[in-house]
Amino acid sequence: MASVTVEFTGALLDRSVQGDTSAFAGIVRANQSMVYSVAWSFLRDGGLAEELTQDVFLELYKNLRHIESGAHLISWLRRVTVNRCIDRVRKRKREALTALDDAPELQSPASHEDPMASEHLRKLIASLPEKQRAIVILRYQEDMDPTEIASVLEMPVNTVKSKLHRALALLRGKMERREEMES
Amino acid sequence: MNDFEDRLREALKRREPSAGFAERVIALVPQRRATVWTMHWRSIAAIAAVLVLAFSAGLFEWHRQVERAERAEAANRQLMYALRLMAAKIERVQNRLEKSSTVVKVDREDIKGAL
Repeated sequence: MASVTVEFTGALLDRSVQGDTSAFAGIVRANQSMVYSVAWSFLRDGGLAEELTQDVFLELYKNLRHIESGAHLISWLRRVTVNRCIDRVRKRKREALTALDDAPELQSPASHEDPMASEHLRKLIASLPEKQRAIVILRYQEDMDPTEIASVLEMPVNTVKSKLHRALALLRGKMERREEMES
Repeated sequence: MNDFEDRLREALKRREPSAGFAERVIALVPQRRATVWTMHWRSIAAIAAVLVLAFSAGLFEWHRQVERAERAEAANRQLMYALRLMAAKIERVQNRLEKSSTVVKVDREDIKGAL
């Protein structure tokens, strides 16, 4: 699935560089769910996530000439999306306008198993420190391994592994406590 | 892979932006491109204005330098002319003085001889 997207995106890249907007639209369609989902999981606000996704693609359009391949394009999108999400969260923290738990919920949860548990898990992920949150999202949403995550976040692989380990322990502990309280 | 990781994957399933998202992005692309071009033209106009100003200032300064040099050269020429005139006058006066002292000397000798 991922390699198909990489090949498809790579095929559209040359035409987009030549100014073919329909090819660029193809790139947007092929990658919009990835960018939007990362932004949504990070910000937990559909409107903000969509605005950020739009900005990321417009930024991509400006930088198309510097993109070398489909794989490079996808890696570029992930890196820029995560960095913009981190910036947005830090800005929001500074402004202290919106508490994460009060952030509006614009879309219904994707889970069909236990919507409440999944929703709680998403809230817990959103409460993680920015870098840990980025690592968990890239690991379990984008299915990236620690080496790939390290390259996107520009940090050592061991740091990624330790932060992931700490984040998982924290999430697991909080989920277990919640389930114990419920039972 | 364990159960908790599966639950994380489930909770973090991908989702789609609202319908027509790609079209909205594409609709903004030409605007963005026009904005970029407008910015380019503005930058070019600003650079051109700065260059014209710098060139004009340079040309003005060059003219001033040339005029100053010409004035200095004219003053130099006048000074040299005045010095030459003065030297000629001094020479003439000196000649006259020499002539008049010779006449006096001859006259005295004549007087001695006569005595």
